[in-house]
Amino acid sequence: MKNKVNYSKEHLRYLARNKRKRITILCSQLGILIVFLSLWEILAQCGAINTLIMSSPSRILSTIGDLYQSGDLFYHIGITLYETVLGFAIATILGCLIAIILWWSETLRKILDPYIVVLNSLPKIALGPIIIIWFGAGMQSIIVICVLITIIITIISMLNAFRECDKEKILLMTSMGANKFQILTKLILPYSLPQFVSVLKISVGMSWVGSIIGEYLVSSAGLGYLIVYGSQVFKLDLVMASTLILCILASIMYFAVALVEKYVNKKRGL
Amino acid sequence: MSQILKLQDISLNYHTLKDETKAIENISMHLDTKEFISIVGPSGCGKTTLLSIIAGILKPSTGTITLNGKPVHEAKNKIGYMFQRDQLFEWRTVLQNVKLGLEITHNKDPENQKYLEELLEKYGLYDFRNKYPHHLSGGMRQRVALIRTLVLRPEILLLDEPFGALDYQTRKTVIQDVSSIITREEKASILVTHDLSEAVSLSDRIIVLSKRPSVVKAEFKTNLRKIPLIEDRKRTDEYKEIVDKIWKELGTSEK
Repeated sequence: MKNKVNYSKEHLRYLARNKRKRITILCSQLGILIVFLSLWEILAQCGAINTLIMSSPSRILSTIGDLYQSGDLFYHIGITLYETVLGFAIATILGCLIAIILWWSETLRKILDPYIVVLNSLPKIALGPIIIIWFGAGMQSIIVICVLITIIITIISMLNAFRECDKEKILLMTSMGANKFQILTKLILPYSLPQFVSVLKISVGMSWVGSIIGEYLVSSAGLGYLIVYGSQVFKLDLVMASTLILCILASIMYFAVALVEKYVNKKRGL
Repeated sequence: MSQILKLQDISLNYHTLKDETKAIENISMHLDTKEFISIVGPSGCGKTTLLSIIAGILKPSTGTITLNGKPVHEAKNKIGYMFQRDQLFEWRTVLQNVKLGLEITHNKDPENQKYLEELLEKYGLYDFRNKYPHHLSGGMRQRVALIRTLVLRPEILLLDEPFGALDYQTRKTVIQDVSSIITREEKASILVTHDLSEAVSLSDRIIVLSKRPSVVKAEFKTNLRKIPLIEDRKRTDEYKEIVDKIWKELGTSEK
């Protein structure tokens, strides 16, 4: 870091302007949230909106408090988190393996191409009932749905990343006598690492979709279950509270992946 | 001088679903030890294809290529390839990039490591060995790419427009650099280019190809490599005369 004293007046002005802008943006972001929540709370308190169908921030908080006290909060979070993380991990590992196999064999890729296109365009939720019959009405089915929703995007994105690799780099390695495995491990995989991390960011979101949809279809616990249950017994407080927790969890997981991305880029000296 | 590389009646046909195209027809040529030759010709005449055949990456339809009397596809790693862009691996440091060939061939013994460090030292890159490629200038990057090739001790170097992607100023220094390194390391080289001034000022011999199907149209010898500085070579009458002759050759092939 350069000493601030060395900066010209113009540059200091530039820095100050920049800082002001950042503060304005942050304040506006917080402002929107605060105004929205207080308006919601005030309207609920004075009876302008029906709390039975709209709930209110204070009621949502007290619902979360109740859930925590009864010990249900972390139980349900744990179940959904387990399904999501497991589904995400399986989809990522399996997806990459399949992408590698399809990169390895051009013929196999051409043979399977139409099937992948169909699977990609099919709304995977449509397979829900079939999966439930095959895998039973339990957590297994939810994880399978989660994997199905997440894996296709991983396969397609990773395969594209592999195939985008510079042909001359492959030629270079071939001219040095590299075999296909060496090309894979020394060139294709490290070359695709940034792409892999950005795919992770997408598939983290997809796996949340998968596990919640799965819980909607078949479950007896989890945040998705709480949302469905709440709506069925008309406890909107519970629905909103579960949605809020879901929001927080999904953001944390996304930021964790973003941190990994930052680390990877830093390690590469970028 | 003895012949290190020999091409005999090389032809190559391209097959597509619609058609069969003759890309190269009965090309015969040779390369002597320590010799630097350039291949020029109208664009799309199959210069790069010819290099791929020499490198053993493409199989010719007919003809034979021998390196030191042996078929070229048996001589792995005896041929170094340089491309238009340096093709350094951005995630590897300079040292790791240069080691790539040794890793592939499982030749990381101390003797090769020492040779590698000597090369880096000799060509001013040793202090940059732990830097990533994006920290280097275009000229240094191309030098790293050349050393990456030299580490494998190739018998000949194939240069596929290696200066094409550089800006004018860098280009001048890189051409001088690469040319001096090749002369100093005594490597026989084949340069493919569309830039006549490059071809004539760098080579012992220039081979002019016709448009597709390409055949050898003409061959010119120069004595310019005796002059150390490339800019000085370009000021000689011999240089001007040969450039002029090649221009005429290429002009007639366009008709």
